[in-house]
Amino acid sequence: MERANVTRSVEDAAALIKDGMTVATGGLLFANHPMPIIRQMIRNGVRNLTLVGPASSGLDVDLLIGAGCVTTLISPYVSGESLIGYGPCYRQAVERGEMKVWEVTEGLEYMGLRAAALGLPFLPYRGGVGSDIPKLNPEIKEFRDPIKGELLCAVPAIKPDVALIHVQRSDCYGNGQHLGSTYGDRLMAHAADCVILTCDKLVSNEVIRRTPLLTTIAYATVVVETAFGSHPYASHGLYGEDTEVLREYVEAAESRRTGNPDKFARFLDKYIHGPADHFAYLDLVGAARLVRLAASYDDLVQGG
Amino acid sequence: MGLDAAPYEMMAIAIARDLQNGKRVIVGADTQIPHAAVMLAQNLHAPDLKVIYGANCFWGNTRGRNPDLYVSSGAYQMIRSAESRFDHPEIFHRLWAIDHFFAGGIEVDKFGNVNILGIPDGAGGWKFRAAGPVGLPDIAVNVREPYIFSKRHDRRVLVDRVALNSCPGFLDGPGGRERLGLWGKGPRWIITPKCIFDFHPESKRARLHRLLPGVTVQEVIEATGFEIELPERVEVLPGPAEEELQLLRSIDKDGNLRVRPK
Repeated sequence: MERANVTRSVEDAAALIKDGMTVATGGLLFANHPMPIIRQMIRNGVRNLTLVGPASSGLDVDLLIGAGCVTTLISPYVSGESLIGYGPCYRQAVERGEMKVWEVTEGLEYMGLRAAALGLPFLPYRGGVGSDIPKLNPEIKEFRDPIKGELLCAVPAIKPDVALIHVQRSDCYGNGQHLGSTYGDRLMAHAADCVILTCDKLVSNEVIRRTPLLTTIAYATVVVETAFGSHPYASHGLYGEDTEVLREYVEAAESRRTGNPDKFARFLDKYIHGPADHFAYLDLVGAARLVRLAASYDDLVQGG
Repeated sequence: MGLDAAPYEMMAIAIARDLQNGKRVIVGADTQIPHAAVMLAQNLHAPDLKVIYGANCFWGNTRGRNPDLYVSSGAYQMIRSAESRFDHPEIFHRLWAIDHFFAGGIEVDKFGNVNILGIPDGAGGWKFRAAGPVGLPDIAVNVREPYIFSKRHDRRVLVDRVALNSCPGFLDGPGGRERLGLWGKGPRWIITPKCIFDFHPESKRARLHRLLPGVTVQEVIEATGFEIELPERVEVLPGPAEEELQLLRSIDKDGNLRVRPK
């Protein structure tokens, strides 16, 4: 009997994500986001997700909120950082009471994911003590620890049904390798029942066997080959972020927040509903531009 | 003498001067001024300043590397200064051994508490929702001496009490941290485009420590929404040395810190 090849199409992988699930999505701010799956979820019209965002969530999370996929958000921060100091769709959804934020800190989010990974009901951390977080989220409880009597926060396990993780390369058995920062991806993968991996390059199992110490995600449930799969975000180790498209997003989302949704709808049409598949999306972005984004990274590391 | 630094440049220089060689610091997301400050310090008097670039998940040293100040501290280009990597959750390991972090927000109060959550509407909703607390509540109760910085100095930012506390400073004053058993000493400074506050050792209230060049005490009082602890004499921060300003501008090639504060 042969080993099972777990590669799937974007469409088949995204079909695993059902309404009402708890979905974690990896990367951080401007890098390593599983964008083809995120775009396909929006095309599929997935609803009522509890979304576990990166501990510093970027505009990928903001996009899912703007597209109406998210009912509850578990994330301590959603921002376009220096492009815009908050996620526009996130801000709009929270201010209008259209989305619930399960308030958390970075440290507590990770402790919740770690509790899930360890199969524990909760884990304690000092982060959150003295702040208003436990008041805003009554599921995070301050308590006196039984060993030294310190005041700590207990955070319940945060257990995703599915974790969506982007790596630079993987084999067909789900052995994924990050060629740059890993962010919180490993912990998210450990906490989840099912791991969907997008990879920029699908490599042979021999490549993985030559470099097993680089493998950061072992035996993902499903692997999806997606060249430039983190675009418009960077894929750490391979290409930089596409600031032009990010600025286009910020303008569209901010204009939606300030009462003019047309631009945002056009953005979704152009980048998400328009292209027939991931390759059509890449055609839309354009080969020259993608090559430049990759060259910008190579220059940096090799040209130094 | 006679060199003129823009306010944000002066803030970066003031922080850089205060960062001692060998200390361990974390630079987080959306913090260009401190980010410039640590690179400046590493290339001046603190070659062994140990820096975690939080949004990139590595420790890095820019000494002699002709560093750039990027728009994002998570910019992939920062890999040029990387020497080691970590999984992001590990940023909370040995947080008690980190000397400094740089916290900013939409409100800062007289006891050095910071709000980056938002302004509640009093009916369970929000008047304004900010980006969120990130790791500030974690860092504020573990790291030794965080700095607080604000790119604006006005009565909306510098308030008597924060509407929500997402980064505990001295909480409600003397003994506040001790009552909860928080780790770390509490905030070291609040630095703004106008001045530096430290904290009075007894009252734990923000005390005017240094004026930025060209700013008056009266101007600070008028722009501040809390009653300031005023020492008998307030010194003005010495302007930039030629070496400091030249190096800073070689780091901030795009002039991000030369933008005038709003």
